[in-house]
Amino acid sequence: MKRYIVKRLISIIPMLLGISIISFCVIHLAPGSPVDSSTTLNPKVSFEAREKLVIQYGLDKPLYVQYLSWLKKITTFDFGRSYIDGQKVINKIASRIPITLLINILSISIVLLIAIPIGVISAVREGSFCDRFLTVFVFVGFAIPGFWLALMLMSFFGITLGWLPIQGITSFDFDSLSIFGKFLDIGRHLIMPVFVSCFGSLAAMSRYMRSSMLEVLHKDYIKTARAKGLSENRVVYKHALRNALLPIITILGLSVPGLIGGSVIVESVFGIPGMGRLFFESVMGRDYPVIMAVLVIGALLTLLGNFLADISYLFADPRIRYEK
Amino acid sequence: MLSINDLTVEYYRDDPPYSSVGPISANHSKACVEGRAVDGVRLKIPKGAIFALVGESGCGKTTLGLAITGLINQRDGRISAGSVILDNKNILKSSQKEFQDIRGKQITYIFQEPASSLNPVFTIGEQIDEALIVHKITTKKDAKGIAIASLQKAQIDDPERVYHSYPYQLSGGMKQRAMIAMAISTGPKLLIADEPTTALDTDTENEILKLLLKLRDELSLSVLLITHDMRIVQRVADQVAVMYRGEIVEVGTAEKLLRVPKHEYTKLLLFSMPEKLKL
Amino acid sequence: MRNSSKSLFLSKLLSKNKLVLSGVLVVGGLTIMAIFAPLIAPFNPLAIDVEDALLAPSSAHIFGTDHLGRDLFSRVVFGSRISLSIGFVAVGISVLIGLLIGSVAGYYGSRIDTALMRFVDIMLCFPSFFLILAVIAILEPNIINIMVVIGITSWMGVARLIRAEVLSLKEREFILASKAIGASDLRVIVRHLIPNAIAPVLVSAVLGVAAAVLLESSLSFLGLGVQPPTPSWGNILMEGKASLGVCWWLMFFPGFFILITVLGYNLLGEGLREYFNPKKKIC
Repeated sequence: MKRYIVKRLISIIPMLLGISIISFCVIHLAPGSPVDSSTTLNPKVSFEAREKLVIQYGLDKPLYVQYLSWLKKITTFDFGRSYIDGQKVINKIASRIPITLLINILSISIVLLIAIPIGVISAVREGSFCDRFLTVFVFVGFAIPGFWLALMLMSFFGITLGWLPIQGITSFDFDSLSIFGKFLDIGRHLIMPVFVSCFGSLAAMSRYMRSSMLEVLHKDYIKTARAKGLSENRVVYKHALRNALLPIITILGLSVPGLIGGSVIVESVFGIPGMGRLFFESVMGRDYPVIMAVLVIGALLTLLGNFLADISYLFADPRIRYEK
Repeated sequence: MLSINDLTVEYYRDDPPYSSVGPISANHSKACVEGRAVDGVRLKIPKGAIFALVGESGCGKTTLGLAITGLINQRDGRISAGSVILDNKNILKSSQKEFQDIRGKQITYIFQEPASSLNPVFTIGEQIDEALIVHKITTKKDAKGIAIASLQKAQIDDPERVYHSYPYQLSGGMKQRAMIAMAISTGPKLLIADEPTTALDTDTENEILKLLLKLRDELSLSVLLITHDMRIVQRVADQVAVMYRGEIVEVGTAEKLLRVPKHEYTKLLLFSMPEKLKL
Repeated sequence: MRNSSKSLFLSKLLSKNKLVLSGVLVVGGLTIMAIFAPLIAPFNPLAIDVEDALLAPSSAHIFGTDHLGRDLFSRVVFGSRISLSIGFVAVGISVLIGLLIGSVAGYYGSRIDTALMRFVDIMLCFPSFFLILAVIAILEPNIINIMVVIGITSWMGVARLIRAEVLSLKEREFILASKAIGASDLRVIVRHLIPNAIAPVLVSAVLGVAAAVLLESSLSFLGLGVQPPTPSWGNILMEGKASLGVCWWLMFFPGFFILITVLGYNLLGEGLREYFNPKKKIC
């Protein structure tokens, strides 16, 4: 088993290389040298100064040289400095990542806690009113644009009812609150963003859980379990569920990029200072070092998510565990 | 020991109207009935005998087995008439809970595909222990002992290893033996074996059949052996019932039926065998 | 498909599944709305009339007006043209790329397959929205660019599907037969493999339109998609954001249309999927 884990870790390296190549190409293969926009914004920059910038950023060297030097730097997490405010990119990202991770982890937890029971119930009561109602709910959930849901919620709960704050992650008087008060404050600010973030995944996951459960319920070993005289509850929740959850682990891993990408919208609409919003701001400001860095880190998080999912699957499915 | 009287099982068309939980109403089911999988079947299965139920695919023999144990899916069909008497009690009138008590304890089942009939995420031991614990045969502590004893009875040479193995680690024959061990561990009166050797190669098939004979002798176990293969009937059956299109067309002791078949269909089955095994 | 089997297909599809029926109705309705937009919209979607700004829905303006007095209903109707055309073209591009990469990978196998699939895996590591935004950052946000960008970031699923189908079809006899009579690789791929692998691609394409519409509207909402004054459901919401809580009609209608568009295509896609893979009942 350890051999499998090590193998898996090693196979990540070419992936990382590929990720860096694509991140680099996305920015540098586009028409117009990156340095143009940062300097054309400022009419006072003279021709000599622009030339200086070109040399400083190494933009006069051939592309593969630029790539290699950038690659060398990012292995030490040196993503350069932001074009917008000159801060070290890695610092900017580091200050924003915790919030994004918090929202995404909360989303995943909620999705698991709610979608799995919904899926199981839908499968067990296949064709019932309950199942059809949940199916409709799931389809609508798939189709709702996240930003629209966010706006509707903000308008209703934030403005009309005034129950929840609609911007930011802390209130003005945050510092004066007790520890418990601070917790509560952040919590109140996170309710709507987390809800919007997990809504789509909730729909998808319960649908997958339902299909997985249905497939398992038709398997022979479920017949055996029933023939053994086990209660239906035992058959469903012990025998069927454990098998039905296996593909869900993989699907969970696959949903990570969607959640991270979705954080752009959620954070922008709710004004949350996370990595998604940072990305949006750097896109608007053509802040290429930050854009490249977030691309790489976003992909890295996805790889991490997939890796964790694979390892969990390893522990959950005995068939994989004992094979070499 | 077990007698089946006038049992009739109706099955539904492909798309029956759905219901949430609970039996489909009588009106609905009348509208959707497609036909009768089992039609007025009468059988008497004695103690300590191998009773073969033979017929072609789709004749209703599997459905009969499912009906006796109350495993007919409410959505697929229902028992519309008849009774099944075990120990002077009509088990078809049992509640869900009572049936769960009978299933797996007094009447046990083994299926055709050993490869898929065992839950892949639990060890053999866990699955046998479960049967013992749920039916309150023994406590958790003693379950392992009885499970290993059952595995031994099923002619498994290394019961300790098999106890801790997962299904995928065993061969087809081993898996079927483990299934049989699980089925006899609760000391049942009747074992229903639905095509138990169809998925196995000839050598393994012989071993399993020999095992069934041994269990019949050592445990006084009654076996309802459902099969389409007349050679198996020749080899192990004490009594035979021939089924065609949901009805029993001929029934009797193996000796008489195989030597002097009365019904046309029985004759057809016998003469269509490629070679006859020596008894 | 000949006429008789086509009509059989349709009637079977529609009768068995109410969901699919509603999907077809919605998709059909939206397509009609998009095609006949100039006839359906009562006002010019670009016509500014500041005196009538921010009016609630009334008989004159059934969806109300926006901050520049433009009739919201007309803008939403014309917005369907934009969103749907972007959706179709983007999906077309992604299907073409996916077909190319998937069939080559599946057909030639071994190293080419491994290399291409690695490439797919790497592309799938990036949150697609991030990639799209990054590319839009460099290119200008106009309609053609949006179509291309969505197209080049959404082909991975199709590629995998096609590859799987090709791999399973590759060893079938009719392929070996056509190779035996000397058909070139290209001919085998285009004339034999692809038509048989088309079913899951069709499903993927329909679902892809829904996804593309969602992506485009998200982009437009962030200001990086279709630029005003050209109406897109996303940018109408962007402009209406300023009057959040006050002018509910600016929030509600465009978003609602995105919802039913995506819903309609999803239902249609799911229905097609079930049609191609009917779930068998176990007796």
